[in-house]
Amino acid sequence: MCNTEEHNIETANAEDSEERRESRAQFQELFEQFGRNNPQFNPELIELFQNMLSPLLQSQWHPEDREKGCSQEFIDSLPRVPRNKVPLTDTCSICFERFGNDNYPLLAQLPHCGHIFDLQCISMWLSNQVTCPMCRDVVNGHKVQDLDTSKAELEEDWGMYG
Amino acid sequence: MSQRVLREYRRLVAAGGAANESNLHPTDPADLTHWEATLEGPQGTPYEGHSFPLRVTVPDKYPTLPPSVCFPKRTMPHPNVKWDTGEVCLDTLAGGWTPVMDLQYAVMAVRRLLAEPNPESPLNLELAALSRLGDHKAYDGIIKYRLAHSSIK
Repeated sequence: MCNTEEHNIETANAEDSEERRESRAQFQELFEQFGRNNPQFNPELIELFQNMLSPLLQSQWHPEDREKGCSQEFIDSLPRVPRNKVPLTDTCSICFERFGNDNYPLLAQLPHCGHIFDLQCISMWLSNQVTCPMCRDVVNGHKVQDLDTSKAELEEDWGMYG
Repeated sequence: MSQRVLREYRRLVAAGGAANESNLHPTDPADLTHWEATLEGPQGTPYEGHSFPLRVTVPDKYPTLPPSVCFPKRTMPHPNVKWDTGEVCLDTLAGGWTPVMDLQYAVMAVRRLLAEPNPESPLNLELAALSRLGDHKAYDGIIKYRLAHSSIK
């Protein structure tokens, strides 16, 4: 994914005319100078403005903002665990509160490693991190099993020539 | 202040003194953002026979962010402790932190660091260099000298 993004940036740069590139650089400089690091400006306004930039520019100007946590979509998609599926004396390892102390606990389970936390607790952690707090499994690093296309093609070839 | 640190406090009190070798306790039980512990110098190290106060500060975003720990300035001669400030460099309290760890774990990690210094990320260049050179005599000698002349015995 990273590679594709970099490739896109390169392509975009190559297509830019000299003039556009220059004005973009000026714009970036102004943005850095007056926007991002200036406490006089309302941070909400700056964020709003930043969001209006194309994602391409956002990632180009602030590469450190990339890959800093899991996406909200990912967090929202974590499977929920019903209350009767966990021992009520178990505690959430992040807030140390017993799951059973809440009549309607919202629990989430991480894919692959299977560790369970209060949804609120794990959401807060994953908004800035990508690893399980228990075992450091990279939670969003597992891709949906790719179809092994190389083999499929091979078989196709065999079919064609065999 | 998060409920988490309050639960840690209750756990510590409930577990009793024996479970809390380092005597980790809040400076003011009404506050819980500032804690203190006492580390005994591990046996077989130049720190043996000395005890070291350690200050633990709990940030607003705890436990998402790690607690910060600090020795009193100019009391801890150690490759990973800045002599002049007492600042500690320890991965557990930086990038290696996760919110399932707690204050007691952090203090234990610092105690382990006394026995197992990591000369690869030094804050005390002199000691780290001696450690890397394998000059144990000079290394131990400097630490013992500093400890003998430190205000904390």
